[in-house]
Amino acid sequence: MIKLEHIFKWYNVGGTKSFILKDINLEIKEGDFVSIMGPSGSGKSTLLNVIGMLDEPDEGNYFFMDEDVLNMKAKKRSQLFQSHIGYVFQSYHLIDELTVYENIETPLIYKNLSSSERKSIVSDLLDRFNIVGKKDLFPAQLSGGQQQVVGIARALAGSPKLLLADEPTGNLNSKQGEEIMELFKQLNEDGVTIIQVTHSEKNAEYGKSILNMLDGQIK
Amino acid sequence: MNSIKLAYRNIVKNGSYTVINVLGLTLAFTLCLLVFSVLSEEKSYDTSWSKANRIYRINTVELDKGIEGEINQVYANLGLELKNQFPEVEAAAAMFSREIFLNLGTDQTVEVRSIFMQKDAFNILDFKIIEGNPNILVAGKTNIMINREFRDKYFKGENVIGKLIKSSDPLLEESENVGYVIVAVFDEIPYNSTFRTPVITFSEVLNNKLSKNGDGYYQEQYIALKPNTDIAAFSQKANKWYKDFLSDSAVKNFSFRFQPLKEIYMNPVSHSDIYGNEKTTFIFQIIALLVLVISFINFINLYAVRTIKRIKSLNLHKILGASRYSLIKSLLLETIIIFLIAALISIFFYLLALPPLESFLNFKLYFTREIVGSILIYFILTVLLSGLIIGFYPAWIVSNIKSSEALKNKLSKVSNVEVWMKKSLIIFQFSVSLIVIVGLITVKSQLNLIQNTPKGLNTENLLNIKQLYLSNKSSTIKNELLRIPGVEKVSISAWRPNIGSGYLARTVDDKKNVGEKIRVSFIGGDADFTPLLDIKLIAGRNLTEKDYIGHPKPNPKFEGDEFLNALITESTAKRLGLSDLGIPIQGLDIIPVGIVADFHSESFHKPLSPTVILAKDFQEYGNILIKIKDGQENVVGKRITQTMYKHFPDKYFNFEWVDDLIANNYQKELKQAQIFTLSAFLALFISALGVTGLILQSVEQRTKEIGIRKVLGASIASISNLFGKEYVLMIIIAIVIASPIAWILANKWLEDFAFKTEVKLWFFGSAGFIVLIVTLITVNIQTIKAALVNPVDSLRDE
Repeated sequence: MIKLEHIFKWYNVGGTKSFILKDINLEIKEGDFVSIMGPSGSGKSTLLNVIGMLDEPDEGNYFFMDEDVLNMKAKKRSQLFQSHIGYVFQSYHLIDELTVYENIETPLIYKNLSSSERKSIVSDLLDRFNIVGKKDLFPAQLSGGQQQVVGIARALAGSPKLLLADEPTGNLNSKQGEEIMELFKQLNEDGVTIIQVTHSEKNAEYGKSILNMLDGQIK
Repeated sequence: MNSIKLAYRNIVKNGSYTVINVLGLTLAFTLCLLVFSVLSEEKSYDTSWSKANRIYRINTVELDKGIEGEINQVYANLGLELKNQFPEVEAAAAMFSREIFLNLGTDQTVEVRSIFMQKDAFNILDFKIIEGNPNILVAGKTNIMINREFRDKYFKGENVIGKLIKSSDPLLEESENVGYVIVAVFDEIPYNSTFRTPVITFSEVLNNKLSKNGDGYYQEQYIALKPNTDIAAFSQKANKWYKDFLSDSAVKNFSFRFQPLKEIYMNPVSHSDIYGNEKTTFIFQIIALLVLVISFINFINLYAVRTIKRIKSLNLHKILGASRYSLIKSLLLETIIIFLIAALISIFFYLLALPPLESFLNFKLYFTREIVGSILIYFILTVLLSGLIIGFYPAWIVSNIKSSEALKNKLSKVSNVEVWMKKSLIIFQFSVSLIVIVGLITVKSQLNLIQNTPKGLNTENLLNIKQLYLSNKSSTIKNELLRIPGVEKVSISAWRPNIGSGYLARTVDDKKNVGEKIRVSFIGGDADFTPLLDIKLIAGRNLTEKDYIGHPKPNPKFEGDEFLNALITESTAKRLGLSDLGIPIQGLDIIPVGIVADFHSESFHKPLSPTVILAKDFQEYGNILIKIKDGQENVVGKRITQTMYKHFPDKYFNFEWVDDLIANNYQKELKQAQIFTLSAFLALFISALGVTGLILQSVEQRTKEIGIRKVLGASIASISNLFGKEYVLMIIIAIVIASPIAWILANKWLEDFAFKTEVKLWFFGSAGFIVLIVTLITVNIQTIKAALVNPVDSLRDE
């Protein structure tokens, strides 16, 4: 599903290149659940951003579902990613001025689904994650764990094949974290490929495989 | 639907920014609407006549060096002669306004503006006659036509055709008082015309042939040309014809210009009672434009501020699949909603402000009210369009953000270019405020100068009864008036302050500048005239009754000559190169017997004109100048009126305080001072809004910094300083930029005056100080609030 070849990313600091990603080669198959681990600054979030095309590498090749992503037109690329990827963030990144319902609905609006289709999908998700009662609340009115559940529900709204999660439990207490991880495991069993970045060994254990990163390289 | 909801929530959520934006835009829009109304009103003057594009007034252009100028009249019957000579001329008529005095019985005398017209005027302007027939004139009476409103006001329900009205004209001799007869009633003349009048008096063509000697008396005359006449070619032809028409010996030191009727309102050339003011209108325009620009700048600045706060959420939309197009769309939608809210409020304010504006301008916005519907439609369209234009650029930029950085909130690090942009916009706002304030100070100090400069004559407690026919009773009246307790001095005169530089002018060669001419004005009254006006004698002697015409000459050498003994002002003596008193001046036909100090016979707009004072016994026509003792002003009025009515029971008397007449000269400047005061407030207010927006942003961005500094022991004052410093620097830069511009504009404004204040350094200093104070107050209101926050709260993350 994902194939990275010789991916480099660097910043220019005072004339010299400071590498964040250094010659990353990676292949991830459909149905995988990969945990990326490593100390702060090792490049794990950047790698995740590159995979999600939130960030572009400076060098290398990236094939997503056998398509050459880096040589693709921006519009086509965003279409490709929009329909296949969902994002979950450490600080949830819900849109503050939208309600729970509207947050989940937003990606569907941009996919140009009709309002009745959107309604049924959102209702399903609300049901599935047990947040029907909260649908008219704004993010600020929810606890961190609840916000992250909404974040995941939103990520799943477009029924993605791949879920990218950057420290999804980083801002949660351990009980909430466990619940989220159980959720991820369930999703993976339902066929969603998951790549998560995490600091916690325990959370990493939920994954099928673990990638360890150090100084921009996979160890 | 969804995006409207979102836009609405954003607008509400960012309440303070929305209020600042809407407020600024509303002010600007309201002002623009008002100014546009004034402009379109003024542009509409005299455009509604069916021949509007081919009606011209004939102006005389004087070519003599030293006294070049243009007047709005030409020799009587020139227009008519042109009609005889040139087939291009369709109609020609004298038309001019004058006051008439109608005695409507039972002590009701009305003074109304009337326009005298020769009958061909009917072929120049359009009249709708609703009663009577102006073609059938009644012999032996002055024929008048009144408008519908006048008829309904004074003759409700009467049959007015053929009605006789007595005249109370103070200038008429009893024997000449033939009275008026109403021959027709016409429908209103459009309000937006220099010819608007309730009464038209008219006559057949006067029997004065155009003189071949290049002299005669002046009349305001209009012609209508046939369609498609080339005015430039016609003007040349007509001027050439006139030069040939004049006899060889005639002085040909003038030409005439055909001034389009439509331009007369804004450029009346000579004194006129219905006219616009280009300078005031121009100031209006500039101020409206500046306020608009400032509020747009505020909008863009605040937009950037708001957007930085929202960049994360915008980016999330992008990650969730929003296209750039849909981001731009939703951002633009917000802009347009804000613009529309401002537009709707400003329409409300505009309609509210129209009546006070009319009373401020002293004319009705007649045309504007007729087209107000379409003005408002165009206004809304313009607002929408400007919203799109103003909103597009920032939306375009913002929609192009990089996802990963935005999520890390890295964008709060604003680029240097953006900071520089914002600062220069604020500097621009400060500069505008500074310029307007310097303008205000200039106008005010000029008005002060006018008030505090000695005029050379004393007009305090000076009452005048406007020129009237005295039927040889002047000595009797004068004596009776002098007997009224409270009356100090009385003088019967041919001139009073503020009626022009004199009642007569003569032109003599300028000996010092060969080839140039000097125009000398003559003023005069009886022997009490100079003492009454406190005109100071410098050399020689004052005039006495012995100097009246007909009295023997003091110097027997000149006995029999037509020379009159006269006083001459100091500067006139200098310009004429006067060496000794008592020697006749050829061309002026006077013998100067005394020199008086210069005085301002006219307003400060005009330079001192060379002036000669004569003493004459005015038995027939004259003004009655009455000096009243201090504190008696309110008591003597009744006695004076009684005395006057005793002698002239049928006359209308125009009592005027000379001080008021003089103050009237500066009405325009007083109004401009008001405009400047208002706009200074506006400019400061809107700048303060802009500063508030930016400070809100800085404070938000630096909440953490403020917290850390407080933890480290910073005082509230030092935190306020942190923000204030920046603005002080910007104000200094603005002073540097604004001062030369303000200096140029202030001097330009002062060009109207022959006697003017200097633009001084302290004008700029105090303007800067005012802006500084307002800014620091604005800055401190916000920063102190921020500095008071407990650092524990501001340092807590997310």
